[in-house]
Amino acid sequence: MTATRIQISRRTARWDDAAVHVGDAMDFWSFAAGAANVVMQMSRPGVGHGVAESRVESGSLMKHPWKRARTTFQYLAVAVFGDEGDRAAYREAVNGAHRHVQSGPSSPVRYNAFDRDLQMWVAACLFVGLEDTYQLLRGEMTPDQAEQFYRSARPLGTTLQVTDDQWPATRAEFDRYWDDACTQVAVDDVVRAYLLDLINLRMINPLLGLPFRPLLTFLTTGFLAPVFRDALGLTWGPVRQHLFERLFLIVAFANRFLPGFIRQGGTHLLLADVRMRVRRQRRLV
Amino acid sequence: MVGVLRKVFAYEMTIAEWIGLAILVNIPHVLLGLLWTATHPDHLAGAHGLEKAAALVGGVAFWPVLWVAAVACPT
Repeated sequence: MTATRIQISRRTARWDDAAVHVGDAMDFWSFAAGAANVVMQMSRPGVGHGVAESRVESGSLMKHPWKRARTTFQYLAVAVFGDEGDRAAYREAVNGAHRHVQSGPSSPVRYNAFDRDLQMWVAACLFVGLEDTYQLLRGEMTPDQAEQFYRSARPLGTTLQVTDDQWPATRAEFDRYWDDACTQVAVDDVVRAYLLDLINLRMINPLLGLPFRPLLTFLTTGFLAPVFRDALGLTWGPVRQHLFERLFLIVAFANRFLPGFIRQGGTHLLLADVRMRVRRQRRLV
Repeated sequence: MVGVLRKVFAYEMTIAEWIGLAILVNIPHVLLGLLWTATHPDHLAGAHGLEKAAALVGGVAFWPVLWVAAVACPT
């Protein structure tokens, strides 16, 4: 567990014991963990090569970074806040793109975007990312809250092809799944080069990207558990860990003073955009 | 339309969020106040110590009144 999840020694205090929901993790600060989540997902060879070799150019992170960012965050918005109709529409759109993603004769690993195990891994990464950011912003959950939060996160996977019984039933079972799944983490040179390009923001205008590069590298490395950090060859140490925890203590404090429509307004706008696209029969992804 | 209004009126915020919102909506006012004070040195002229601090705060907080007063009744 210590190698597969980030360890935080000092967290913000909890301010209330109200019911928790995965949607509470969708405050805009959580996007700071976005690149780290892509790294985690792609650390599984089937996902890593599936994305890096993908011929679906319209969904390429390197060629259309802003569009890819929109569609990825819209998936999260639909899974977390959407209703059954939104989920069905988005599933169909993603399936359309995923149909083209399967390994060819020259691929070093076999993969297929409809592989339920790979999708379960991606959903698990999303859950881990949201649980980590939630606890950094709102404090540690009690075991009961963690269970409730976990159960509310099921649509992260079931919105696509992950089945209900595939999603581990309890939070403790999820830990076992996660530790076991992390043994399959392996990053080769192709995927590593792709991920380093992402962290170094090589896909966006350098004028915009360069100033953010040190910050994104810091945040991304901080949100990565040792198993992913080591696979990618990123360096980290106690001083940076201390800075990371301090930074989130400050962010968490400021975040308590932000009204929900500011913290989560972006996500709800993305969901409204999905609904508008469905109404006007425009492309979702 | 009524539905939207009802939703807006039923929206709940914590006290901390109200405080944060108050700070956020006042940022433009404070920035303009600083700008007004910086461009009107006569407002602080002749004031010293505590009086100067009070004039500074007054300038930042009440710049619209001071500005209207300056326009409406030029001295």
